[in-house]
Amino acid sequence: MRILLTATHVPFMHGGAERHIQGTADALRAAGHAVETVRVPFRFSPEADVARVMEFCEGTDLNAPNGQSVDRVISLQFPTWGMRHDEHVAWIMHQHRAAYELYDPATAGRDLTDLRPQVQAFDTRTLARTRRRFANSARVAARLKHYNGLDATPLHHPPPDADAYYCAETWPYVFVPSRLERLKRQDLAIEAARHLRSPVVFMLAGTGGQTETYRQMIERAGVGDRVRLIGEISDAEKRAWYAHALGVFFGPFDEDYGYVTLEAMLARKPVITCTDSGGPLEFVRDGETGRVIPPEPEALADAVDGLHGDQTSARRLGDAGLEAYRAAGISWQGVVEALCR
Amino acid sequence: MPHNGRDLPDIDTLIANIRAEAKARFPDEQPEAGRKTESAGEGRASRGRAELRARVHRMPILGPGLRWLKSLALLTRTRAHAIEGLELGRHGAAAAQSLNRRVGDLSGDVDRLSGRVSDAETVADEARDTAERVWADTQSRVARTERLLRVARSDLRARWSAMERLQRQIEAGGDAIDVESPGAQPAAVSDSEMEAFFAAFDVALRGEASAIAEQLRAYLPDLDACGAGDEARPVLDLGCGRGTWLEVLRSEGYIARGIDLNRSLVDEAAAAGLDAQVEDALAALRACPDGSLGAITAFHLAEHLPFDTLYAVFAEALRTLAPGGLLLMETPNPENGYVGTHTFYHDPTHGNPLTPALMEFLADYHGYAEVAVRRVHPYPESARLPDGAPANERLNGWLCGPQDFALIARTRPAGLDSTADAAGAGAAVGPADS
Repeated sequence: MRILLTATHVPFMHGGAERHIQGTADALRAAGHAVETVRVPFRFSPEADVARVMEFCEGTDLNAPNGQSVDRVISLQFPTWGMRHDEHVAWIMHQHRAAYELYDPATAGRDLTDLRPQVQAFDTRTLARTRRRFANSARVAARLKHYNGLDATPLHHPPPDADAYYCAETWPYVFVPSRLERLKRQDLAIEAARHLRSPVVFMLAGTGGQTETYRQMIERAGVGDRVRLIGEISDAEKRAWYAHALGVFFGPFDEDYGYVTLEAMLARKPVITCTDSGGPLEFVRDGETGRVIPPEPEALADAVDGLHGDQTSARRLGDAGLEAYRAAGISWQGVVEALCR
Repeated sequence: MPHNGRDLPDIDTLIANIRAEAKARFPDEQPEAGRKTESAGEGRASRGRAELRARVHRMPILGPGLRWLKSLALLTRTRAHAIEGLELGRHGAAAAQSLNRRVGDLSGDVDRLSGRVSDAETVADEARDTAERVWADTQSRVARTERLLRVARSDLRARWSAMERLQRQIEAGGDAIDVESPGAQPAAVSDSEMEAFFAAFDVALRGEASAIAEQLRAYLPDLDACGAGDEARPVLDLGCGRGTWLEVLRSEGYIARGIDLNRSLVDEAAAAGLDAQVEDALAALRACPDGSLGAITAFHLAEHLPFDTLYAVFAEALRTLAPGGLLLMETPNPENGYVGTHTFYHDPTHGNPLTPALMEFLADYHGYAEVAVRRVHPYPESARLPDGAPANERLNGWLCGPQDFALIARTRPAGLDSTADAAGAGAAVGPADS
């Protein structure tokens, strides 16, 4: 098939989304399809820009651009699912979160308050038109149902280089990889450090908008010997950090999907996550493949002490994690089959 | 990492251990993923033998004969079992003996015949090898002659138009003739002396051939990705110098030739048995037919060319590359502060530094389908200021980053119609794929 993959382009911000888009294009090509990616430049603010891009997308017909036949459009991101095509399949990475679960009337400006109903109406209208709908995770599907009343089938995909993860001798640290952003809540680990009784340290990998805040927080709490920001790391280093960890802490607020959970499971490591973390809860079962705790520093410290105190159990949780990953049958082949059905 | 389980682990030791393990476990993680496991030459040779065997079996007389002989051989192998069965029958002992003799005779015949067939096979092998060598040699001679003819023809055209211009000027008045003569100002030193100097300079400044070869190997996967390097899609290396890259390609079984203007470097390459000639890059490209090359490579050549020549090289490369073909150009990266202000100017024959943005735009503008920039050769870890302080990180980024970059551009693959062509050359933009 000749497939157009649509997504937005946020210049020079490269995170999971970039790899997701690239991975999808690669998998479709590997299955023998001709794929081109249409990227629409996107910026979150000013809000008027978001409205303009919605209008642009809905006004764009991809059925036969310049006389070229296109067999299918697969859209990954808001608002590109507004583009028109008779065989349009949406695989929703996530919606415009600022207009949904992250919307807080207390802090939102007028423009966002005005934009919000427009975004919700746009999603409901345009996604209803698609031939088939998939969501990146059950969490994303649940939000779509809750806010827009539309169904979508959860469709999971493997993290990049899934085969390269490995497990090695446990060293006394908990690995905390994520962009340093408020939503990822690395502050829980920094505050938990004071409550730890076991000789374990937190290693925080990644960079982001909160780097300076978290650095100061570590300094103020005087836990420099317990917590370290190690910044950007290579993929090889990331795999080594996973391999030797006692466990992995991944406690974001209402995450869509989260590669971290899956990467930790591939490295046979127990995952500590929180009751309100969203995506990770699809895979982490308390006491089976990791720990699910309330988002409180004391609870996190307790969970880490628990892993350190009984490392045999910790290893068992990690092993069960890998089994759970395998049982979930996550593969690009499955993704391609679903999207091209 | 040994740890007593009571004291806090030392975080710096942890980090050092993880880094060391990552390096040891994934030594070629970064740009050069997927080294070739089988040398291409070996692979081709064994495929050649299998092909030959298949051909012999398909031959009208030899083929069926061979198959018949093989089944006979199988019969003699089962002789022992046959005899056992016969002896069980007691009455058949005499018959078995006679059969045994006859089978024994037959088996001797089979051995003799197999010997002769295998002799015949050896002779056929040799004959075929010779024929293949002669054929390949003839083809390359014909191709070379065609190239030379094309060069001669374009040279002739240039001289002819120059003559016509002169004639017109003479007819117009005769006193305004401007003849561009390179000998008008006598050079301070001879060309050959300059060439010898730059050959030595190249070794001193760019480093040993073996070290460069190691860096160049990183580009082999790019050739594989576009299927370049066989008879139908050979590699052309512009500015091949003493042939370091050609040597890498030859050792891995790729078909390649190179050109360079420095005669003393080309002589070195030719002495090593490489296909290298003294030729101008643009002239060499102009002599190639449309779509006849799998890849065009140019390492540290672009920065020597006047801009209009570089522009023309992009256009000619697009014409001469086969669909999906690769244009690969490596040049110093002026984003690195030392390169941009200092090391670039070591070589007095350099023009201006070329930025990644310019090279990328050049390729986009000409209508290459896939265009990427790969930054390579950062300063070694030891040159970096200690990480941690923001000022250090900024300085490291500016001064210790990649010293070179490669432009990697692919022509549109076969079977994809270009909408850009229909829209006009000025609007040529590749697909928006990342």
